[in-house]
Amino acid sequence: MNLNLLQEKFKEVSLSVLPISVIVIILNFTLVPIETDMMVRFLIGSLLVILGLGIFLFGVDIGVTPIGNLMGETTAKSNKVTLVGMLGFLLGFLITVAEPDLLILANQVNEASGGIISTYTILIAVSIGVGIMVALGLLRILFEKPLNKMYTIIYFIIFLLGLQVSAEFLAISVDASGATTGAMTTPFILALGYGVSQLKGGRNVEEDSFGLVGVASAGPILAVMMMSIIKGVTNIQGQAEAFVPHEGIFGPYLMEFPQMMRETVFTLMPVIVMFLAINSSKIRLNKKNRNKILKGLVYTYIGLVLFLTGVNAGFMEVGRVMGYRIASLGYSWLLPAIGFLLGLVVVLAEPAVHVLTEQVEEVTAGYIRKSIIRSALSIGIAAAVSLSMMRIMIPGLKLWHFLLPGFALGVLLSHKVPPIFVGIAFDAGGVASGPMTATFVLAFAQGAADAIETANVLVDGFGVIAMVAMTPLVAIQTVGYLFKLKAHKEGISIDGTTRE
Amino acid sequence: MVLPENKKFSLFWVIVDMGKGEKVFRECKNLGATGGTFFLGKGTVRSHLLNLLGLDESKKEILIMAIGEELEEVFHEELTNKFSLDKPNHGIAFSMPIKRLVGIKGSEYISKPEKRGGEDMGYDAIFTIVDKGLAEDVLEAAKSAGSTGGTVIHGRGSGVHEKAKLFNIEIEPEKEIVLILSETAKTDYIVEAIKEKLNIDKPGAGILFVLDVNRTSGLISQN
Repeated sequence: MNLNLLQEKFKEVSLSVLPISVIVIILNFTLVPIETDMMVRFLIGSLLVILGLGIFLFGVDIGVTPIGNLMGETTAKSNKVTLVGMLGFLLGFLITVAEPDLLILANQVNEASGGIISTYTILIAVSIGVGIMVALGLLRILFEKPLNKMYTIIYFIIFLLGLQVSAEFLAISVDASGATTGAMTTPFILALGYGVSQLKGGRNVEEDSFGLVGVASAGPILAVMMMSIIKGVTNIQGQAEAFVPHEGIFGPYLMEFPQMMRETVFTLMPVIVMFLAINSSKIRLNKKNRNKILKGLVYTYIGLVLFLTGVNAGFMEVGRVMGYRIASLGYSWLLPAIGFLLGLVVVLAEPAVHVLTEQVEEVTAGYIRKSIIRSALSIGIAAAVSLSMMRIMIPGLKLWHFLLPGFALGVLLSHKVPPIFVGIAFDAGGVASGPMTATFVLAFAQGAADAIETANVLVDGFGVIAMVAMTPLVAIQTVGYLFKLKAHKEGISIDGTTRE
Repeated sequence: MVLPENKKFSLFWVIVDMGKGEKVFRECKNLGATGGTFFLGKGTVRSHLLNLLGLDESKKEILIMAIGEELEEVFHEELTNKFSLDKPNHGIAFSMPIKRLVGIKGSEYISKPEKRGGEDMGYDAIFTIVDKGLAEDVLEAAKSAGSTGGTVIHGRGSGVHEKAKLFNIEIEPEKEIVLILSETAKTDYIVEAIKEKLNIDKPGAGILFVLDVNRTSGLISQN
């Protein structure tokens, strides 16, 4: 019997999750001893994350990605601008409004704005934002407009709006973009863009296969910024809830598991409903293919529940406690250094990273290896976490000191590198800020902020995801630039940089 | 430079799991390949459990190289040794005669149309090009006629009988190229089965062609 396929996948997944586990274990035995209960819980969490990630990726492969591709194809085949726009909007809206991470963020913003902006308003505004951007992104592919120009315009608007909002809301808005591009949304939007570009073909097919996630993740930024301006909210109010670690080993799991089971139903619901609706009216897959996709969705569900339970019950508190204790040790260089180390490995366990890098390999027929993209992401996220730690430690250092030059550099590079790297890089920004980073790294940062007197857990907690969403733009486009230089040296010109 | 009359070339194919291709290519270069081209495909998986689970596809890398005929044997043997092609699911390799070749060492080559390979000949390569989504039907039809599996390659193209437009721009619709290696004795049955199931002989339904294969490695007979 051939179980190669399963073995290979789980080997790969284990190799992406184990580095983070090993680092935490080493830290436990050297710098920051952690309570045995919590440590055991972390180990169980690691196991669940490996298992969940593996199953989830299989599910995405045979369930979510085919649905996204089919949706993209069906949408584009409608052959009418208004219809593509409307369907794109609907898909973007539905998939976002069901994202549990967005609900959490919306609640936080509601509290932080002192109730002026209601949870519900944020949820709808952000979903509309994503819907509009997905529609524009799809039309861009069909009308063959260059991606870098689109990003330049989008980020110029963001920059203008950014001048009007307070520093706190700048952080929240970019965080919102990270929250909406969750484990489920990202693979779906990736597949949507891929489906449309594959259907359309033509000379831009490679580069057009990417970039839609990047466009979509600008939606929440624009939406939250506009909300803040319209409602005139500038200051963040309130205090973060006091942190009380859980006791016991299994208790937190028993609490998280049913909750994740419920939440994940909501996450998957729009995809299932859209698929069944379009399948019965438009595509009409044969029974075998339809059942395969439904099987894929079942795997996606099981995988996601296991993964999220593992992360929430096993990783979050360890992150929080480690952040607190490392910051309390009193060596100023230690926090950024360990932040760097964690950033280096944490992104490898991010589900959507696997999906994106697989697609990169597929689209380029292996020319751009996934290991290259993953390494670039690792370094990018390591820098993001490390810089975030410095920002928490040094009161004078503000988030926009990093975001402004970072995004500016990202946009500038998009005119200098081969177009395919532009799409990959902006997609990677949304991909890297998934559930693993959002819980573990955020918890680590909050723990650190808790221990440092000049820092505020609530205020400094916002903005960590924003950094993680920004650095991939620079890191991956730098790789693209190196590819171009290397190709240039060998006398090959990679298409597109001179293309208008 | 004109190559000697008797110098013959073969097209050497290697199909392995995703990620192994580069290693195979490096080895081939050591063995004397002057170049090669990669593309990706999907292979069928023969496992009831995995099929039941819906995990019946695995990503493959396909490597093609034009090599001198005298290298063929070495290639087959060395690659079989090094990558255990003789074990199930470790990949396959096969070679085809090349009729005409331009671009290697700047010389042109036209072979006399004669069959080669002698006793090793026992396989044909059946290529079927159909609309996207139909590859599975092709594989199923082939299976019913005794084939053991195949590789699906994603492509695009169109025939004179079809027109596709997207936003008033003419596009080449997506296709699937199905490559099936079959024992010569079974080839006719498989071709018939595919023809029947997909109506390939009708206009616009796709095309099918069969090419000679000199030698194969890594194909494990079902019986």
